[in-house]
Amino acid sequence: MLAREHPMTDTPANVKAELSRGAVNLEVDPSIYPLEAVYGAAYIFIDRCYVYLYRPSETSLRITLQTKEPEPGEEALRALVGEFSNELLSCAWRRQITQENRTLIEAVTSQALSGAMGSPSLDDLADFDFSDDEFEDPLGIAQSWEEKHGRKTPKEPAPEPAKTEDEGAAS
Amino acid sequence: MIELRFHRDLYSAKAVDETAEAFAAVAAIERSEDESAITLAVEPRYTKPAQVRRIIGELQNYALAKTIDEGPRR
Repeated sequence: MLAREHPMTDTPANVKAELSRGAVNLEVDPSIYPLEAVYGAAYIFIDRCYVYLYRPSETSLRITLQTKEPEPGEEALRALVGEFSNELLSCAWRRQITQENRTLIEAVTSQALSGAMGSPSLDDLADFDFSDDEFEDPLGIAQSWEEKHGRKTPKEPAPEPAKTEDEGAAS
Repeated sequence: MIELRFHRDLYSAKAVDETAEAFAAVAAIERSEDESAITLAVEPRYTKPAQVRRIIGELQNYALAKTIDEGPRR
């Protein structure tokens, strides 16, 4: 039964809900709510309900929620449908965010793990290769102030040319 | 006797088998399977409706929780 046709259940249009004999049957489209999202929502309700998943066809997934209370009122069942629908949407959205940011999450996690490994040992430092090629620095950014603006050391005087034997004899 | 059909793409076979083993003390369970699902025919050893309801419900939850705990299967 479609939610729109059933005045007692306020569910999204893409979730079908049916209240019967103290249980709720929700039918969802797995292309909108992936199985991982259904698992996530079901897991949250497992302490309050008995949850059973069933696949009536390839294009639908049925979730049966039965409260642990023996005889729930219709109001309680309606509330259950609403809460489960919200949780389902939340889990589906969280999964999508995780997928979209997977690269970023993995990068941050690997950085955090490498940082948690602690400072390098003396052996690590001894083995470290410091022989990086010099990088280009056309603007002199890597130079110190003294190198760039400091007093220039006077040039050493050019060595006097050696006197020849003839010149020495004449003097 | 109540038949519960656990679809293979929704429940892990290992989880369903562990469930049958775990509930053997409170119910007689017969296992059968086909291509798409594993079916457990459950006959609770208790007869009160509330007890039967609870055993069946807890069995369903156990199978689902075990499946989820196993992590992604695809």
